[in-house]
Amino acid sequence: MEDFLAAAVLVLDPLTLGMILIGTAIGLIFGAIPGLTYTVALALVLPLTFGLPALPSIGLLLGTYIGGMTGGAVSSILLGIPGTPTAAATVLDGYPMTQQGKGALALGAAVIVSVFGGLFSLVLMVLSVDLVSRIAISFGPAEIFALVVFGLSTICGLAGTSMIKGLIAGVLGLMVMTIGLDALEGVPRMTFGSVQMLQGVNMIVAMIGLFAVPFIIRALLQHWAGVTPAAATGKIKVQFPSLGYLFANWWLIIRSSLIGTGIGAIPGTGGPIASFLAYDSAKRFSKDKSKFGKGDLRGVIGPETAGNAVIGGAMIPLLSLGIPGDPATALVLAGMQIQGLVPGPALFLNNRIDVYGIYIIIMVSLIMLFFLQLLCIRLFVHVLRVPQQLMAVVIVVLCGVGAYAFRNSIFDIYSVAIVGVAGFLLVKAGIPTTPLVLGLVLGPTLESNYRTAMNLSGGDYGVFYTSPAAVVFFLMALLVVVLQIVGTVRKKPEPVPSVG
Amino acid sequence: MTDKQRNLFTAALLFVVASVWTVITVQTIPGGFSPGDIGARGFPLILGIALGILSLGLAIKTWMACPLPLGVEDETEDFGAGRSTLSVLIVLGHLVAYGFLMDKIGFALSTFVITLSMMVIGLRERNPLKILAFSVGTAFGAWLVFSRLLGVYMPLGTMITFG
Repeated sequence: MEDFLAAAVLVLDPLTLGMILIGTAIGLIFGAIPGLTYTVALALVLPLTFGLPALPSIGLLLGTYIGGMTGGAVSSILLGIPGTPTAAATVLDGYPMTQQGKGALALGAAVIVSVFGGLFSLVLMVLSVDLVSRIAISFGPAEIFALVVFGLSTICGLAGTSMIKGLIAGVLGLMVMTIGLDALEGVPRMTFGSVQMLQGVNMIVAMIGLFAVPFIIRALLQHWAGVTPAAATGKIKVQFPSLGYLFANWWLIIRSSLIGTGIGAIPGTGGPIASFLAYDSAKRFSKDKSKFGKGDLRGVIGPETAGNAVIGGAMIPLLSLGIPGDPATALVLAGMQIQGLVPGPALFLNNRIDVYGIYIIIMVSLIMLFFLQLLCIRLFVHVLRVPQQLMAVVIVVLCGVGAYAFRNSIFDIYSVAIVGVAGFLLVKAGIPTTPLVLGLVLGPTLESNYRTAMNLSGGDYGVFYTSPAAVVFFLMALLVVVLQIVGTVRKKPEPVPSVG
Repeated sequence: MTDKQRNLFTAALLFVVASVWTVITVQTIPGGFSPGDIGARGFPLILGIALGILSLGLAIKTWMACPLPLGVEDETEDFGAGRSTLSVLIVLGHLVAYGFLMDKIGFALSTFVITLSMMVIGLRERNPLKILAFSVGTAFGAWLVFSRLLGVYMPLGTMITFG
């Protein structure tokens, strides 16, 4: 209790509250702009945390993350363009509601249920994270290696329509992270005699390149072609659904929260899967399915609740095991590491105040999110009206600043350019970038734990199959791969349009 | 270029990358020192071989069962290859130039130059007032927010020092 009160005092400090507010607003704005995801926002605000104390910097990052998860609903409902991949399912019924003049009601419902989903998942996270971390404290290199293998197995689910291309992307991500000075033996790898290459390609720098550069290129192409996204017009206000309606749909809200938290807790899954599963379940358990897709409020409530419930779910493996569930939480993880907070079992022993602080930050951010959306929906709509080509010019500047500020290295700006263009070309070749990001994030952990485990066991592979926890993770990885293969085999091949 | 041609080209390119990577790994990175130590070479070598196998798999699968699904949606395909290449070169050039100029003339001035150049070359804007206002506004705003308000250390420039 003493630690909790100490954490509350730290979070209620004006600087921390200000950073949470700024982060939440930035996340909402970035989330609301199609193509400019909250992952980009996180990558760009991360360097700003260098000069801040621990909790304000985490407040800025978590605020951005939470705001961004919700912001996508604004453009989904008003413009029919998902601001984030998580909000893609919201378009299905949200935009038809706007076309019927019920956009304000859809926005109001989205505000309420997304905050509820976030708070629900926070409670689940607080209840389970400590237990998971106690189990995880007994993990050695072999168990962590097995866990990372499980995390990497989700590449199969992230690969899109071609698993082989997903695997290629994953391997490329792992390869990039081996460049530089080997952490265990100090041997230069793929540096070609360059001193600057010794520092390797930084994960954050690579992510800025992968997410921001393709956006700039796309914005230029759209500008040249005269393609401009539809702009929201008219007066925008928030209108809430009645309490009776919400109570009548209590099971839909709880079920969607559970789906979101559960999916969020599995590394490599994230918001889009959760929101589409929640939409699917809302439709499946509905007595009148015919209204879905034509402007049914339940089609907004389901995905929006699940989308935000992912927040707490994603925090469970992040805090207890140090495994990020998606690129956004990987950036939050990086921010915590910069502040000397290493997520994992030790965090709960050595930094209890900071852990409680994180819980309180999430709660405060969700509350701020509620009021920010009430006050600022109209303002956000104005941001949606900012031409994307001008936003692209600003993002070029932000890329330069974000890359340089991370390690005070001009070389990192060049890395952003090269990685970004390479990422764009990979997408052109039909290779998904999400598995690549997973490879970037998990690569160093995978290698260092495998090598440490093998060194400790003197080359005995038994270390991997005599540990029950390691075996469980390997079996889970196998299950994920088998289920994906079975799903692919069963799925009827769809006709593919020929390009060119 | 059809999907099949694109996949085959990608597979061939990746196979070349994998082969070069593997050769360089074997030639430049030392192996382990004991049976339990796979050394610094182990992972890069395994990954190079894996990429080679996967790229061969992609080529074979494309050849045997065309057309292969694209994997991810390419949002820029409709804009034409020429325009796509030009946009890539413009963005690449501006980012590289930004890094170079930031080192030489400092953060504030390089931000002004790059913003101005992006407006003229990237956005093909021809209104001098709009170009100047946006460039000065962005450079001043970035300098104010990053260098002054947030205290992020940004380069001052080795040739010209200007904030």
